[in-house]
Amino acid sequence: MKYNLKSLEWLEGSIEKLQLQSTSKNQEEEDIQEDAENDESVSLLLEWKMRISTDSDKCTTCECDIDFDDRNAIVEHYKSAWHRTNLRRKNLKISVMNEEEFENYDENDEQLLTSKPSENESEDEEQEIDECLLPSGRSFFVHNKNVFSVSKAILHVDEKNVSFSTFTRPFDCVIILFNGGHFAAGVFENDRLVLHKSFHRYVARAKQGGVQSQYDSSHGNAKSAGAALRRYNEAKMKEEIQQIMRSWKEKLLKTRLIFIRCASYQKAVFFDAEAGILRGDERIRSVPFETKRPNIEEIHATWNRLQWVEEHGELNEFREQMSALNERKKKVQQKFEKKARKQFGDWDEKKEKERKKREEERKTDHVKVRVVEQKIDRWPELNDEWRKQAYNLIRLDDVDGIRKHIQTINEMHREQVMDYLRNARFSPNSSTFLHIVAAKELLNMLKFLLNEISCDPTSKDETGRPPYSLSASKQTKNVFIDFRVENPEKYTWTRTHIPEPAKPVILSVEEELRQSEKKKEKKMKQKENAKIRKEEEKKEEQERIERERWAKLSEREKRAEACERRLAGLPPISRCQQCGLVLAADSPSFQYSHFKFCSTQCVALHRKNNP
Amino acid sequence: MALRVDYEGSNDVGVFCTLTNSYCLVGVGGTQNFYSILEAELSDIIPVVHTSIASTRIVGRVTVGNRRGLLVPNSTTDQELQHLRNSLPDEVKIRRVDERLSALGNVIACNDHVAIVHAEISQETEQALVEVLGVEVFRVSLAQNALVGSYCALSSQGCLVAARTPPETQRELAALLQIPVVAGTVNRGSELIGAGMVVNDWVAFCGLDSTSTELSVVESIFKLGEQGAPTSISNQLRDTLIESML
Repeated sequence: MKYNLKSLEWLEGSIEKLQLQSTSKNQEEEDIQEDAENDESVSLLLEWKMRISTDSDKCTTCECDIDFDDRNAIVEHYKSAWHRTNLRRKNLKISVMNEEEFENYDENDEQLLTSKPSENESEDEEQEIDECLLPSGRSFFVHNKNVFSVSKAILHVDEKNVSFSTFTRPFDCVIILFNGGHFAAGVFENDRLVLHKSFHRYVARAKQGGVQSQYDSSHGNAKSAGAALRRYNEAKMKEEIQQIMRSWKEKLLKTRLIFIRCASYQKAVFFDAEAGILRGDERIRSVPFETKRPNIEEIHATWNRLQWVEEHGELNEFREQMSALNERKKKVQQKFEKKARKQFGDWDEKKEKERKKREEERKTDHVKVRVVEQKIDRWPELNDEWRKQAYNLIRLDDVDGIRKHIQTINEMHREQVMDYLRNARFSPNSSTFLHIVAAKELLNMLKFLLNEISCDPTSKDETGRPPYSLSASKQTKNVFIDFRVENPEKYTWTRTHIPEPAKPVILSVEEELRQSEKKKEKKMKQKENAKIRKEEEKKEEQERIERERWAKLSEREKRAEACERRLAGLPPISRCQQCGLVLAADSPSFQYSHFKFCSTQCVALHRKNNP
Repeated sequence: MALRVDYEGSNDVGVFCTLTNSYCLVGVGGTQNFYSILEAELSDIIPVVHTSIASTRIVGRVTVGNRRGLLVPNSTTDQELQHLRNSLPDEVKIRRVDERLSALGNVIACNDHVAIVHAEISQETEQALVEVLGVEVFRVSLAQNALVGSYCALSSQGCLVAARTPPETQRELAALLQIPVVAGTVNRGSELIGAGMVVNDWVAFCGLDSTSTELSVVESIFKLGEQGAPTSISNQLRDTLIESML
């Protein structure tokens, strides 16, 4: 059964606040709290005044009074543990403590504090969970041991809970519904609709959705006739709405509740109307349920529905339900935590183990105890002395020496010797003998190891390189290549990095002839080229002499020469006046008076010589 | 006297230089310009030491010192320490401190008498400050700026703090340090005072971008040059300040 604000039954019996904890102590506390809340504004004012009057001779961290004129007092305060703790808390963005709190405060808590919120807070959380279970948009109250709720939106700005007056006063408000091209608004006074207006304009894009301005803002201005129409209508509609709002200004200023239902980007229309609705106005509510197409009927329906009171059953049952819910929620939370721990737990444990190991190591570090892995010696018959000697002989490229050295070992254990020479590893890079020999360019020893000991050229060192890759010189590489040629099937050669040998080239008689001809031709060409070059040089030399001669001529002689050329019927040659260089017809020339020059330098020189 | 200098194009001279009344450290660098200005100004009076700390040039940010001593971070190499020991006057004590907040210049600001430090520095460092530098140590934070060394410059004459430090904090600091405290900027509006300038009792070096108003504030609060009392900020500089606000 739905109840309404206007139901008569609210008038009998008291309206109480819903309390989920049924302890009396809690109630008292909250009473006190309420009193405090009532006095809140007064105390705020007082505090503000205090702040101004004392002008704060205060420690800015601890917010305690200090006399700034008394330096000892300040220094003492700054050295106190209280100030230090508060400073640290402030840096960590935790609330600072007053002196009493600090005295009760255990130093040990501090470690917890730096990593986690305090215990106190978690207790608060528990209570909050209770509150959280109730839907946030509704205000609950108890009437005749039954729990009811109304929408929080219908409470006035200064109200926090449902009170008797909520039911006795008329439900006066302004309701504005605006969606797409539809607009409807109504003003209720004394439970009657005293003013209303609704109209429609064509602004929404048919079959596409959204108003034109929205489309324009995301896609750029559409150019169709329809778009222009809608755009015009939208502007017009905005104007009209603002006009209506302005004409209702008086009512809007007076009313205690304004319900606006529209898209958030359209809200600006109302704020810009200068009709007494401001941005951030606390009276503005959104309609806490879905509404249909805005019109007068919908305004009425909205008004009615806002007054609905929901029933939640008997108080005790309700409490039980809530506590059950609470427990369920806790369980879910715990499950979540467990899961999380499972996921990260392994990792944590591993880390923990590692840490412990490290700690132990640190503990025993001063005794220099180290666990060394025991190696199984593959070559028990070879003593250290022998090995050292072998190593030295190999390093010295002494093939005969190493042969003799191998002979010193009994025939029975010859296999071990071979194995040793093939597989022994040396730091750094755990290279084999073959690696060492290749890197050192010990050619004889390399041949010996490859051919007689048959060391494996595919074995790789720590850096993943076979011996061939370490060989520095061409000769060493050639040894490897020769070895490959001799034993084409012995190893997987691609793994040794040894390249295929270049095939020797065999030429037929014809080919040889052809090649010799080619060589001859080449020689001829070279000769010709040389001839041409020589001729060119000769020409240049002549030109140079001519040029110099010409440059030395006087002005008169130059003109005479040009004249002679003309008379002889030869084409005229223009030369640089200064250096005598022949000026091509199309190349840029520099001129002054009737003189022509090849470059600006020549011009400058000429001017200098003929001032 | 307050001078404008730059270190290889950077205005943050306080980063590359530590200046005290008995010595001056500068980070080794590519250009000679910065050194010549500093040396021209200081070398008759106090030694100017070229050094790196932990192989970095940011000596101003990682060291802290006054006329009695010098604290360097634990990452300072033995060679650097030896060099410092050889170059600084004998009466200057040097100590390497093992501090988690190893940029000592960022977390400590000090003059010859007091040091204000970050809230989180260790007890050992505080002890070292008392023993080596011979100062009183106070843990403070300049409102939202916990890095006191970066946001304030301190000499025996005065203290310049970041512009947005609230007046209560300034008053508190003044009472604590017993020197005038003023809020201001350097390097054309930079709040990083400690990084933007270095100061001792008779000279200050600010970044090249510092405006003349900023320099005047610096000169008057640190009582450098002829201007004298810090009240001159309100008296002599009134017109300039108002004009710059318009």
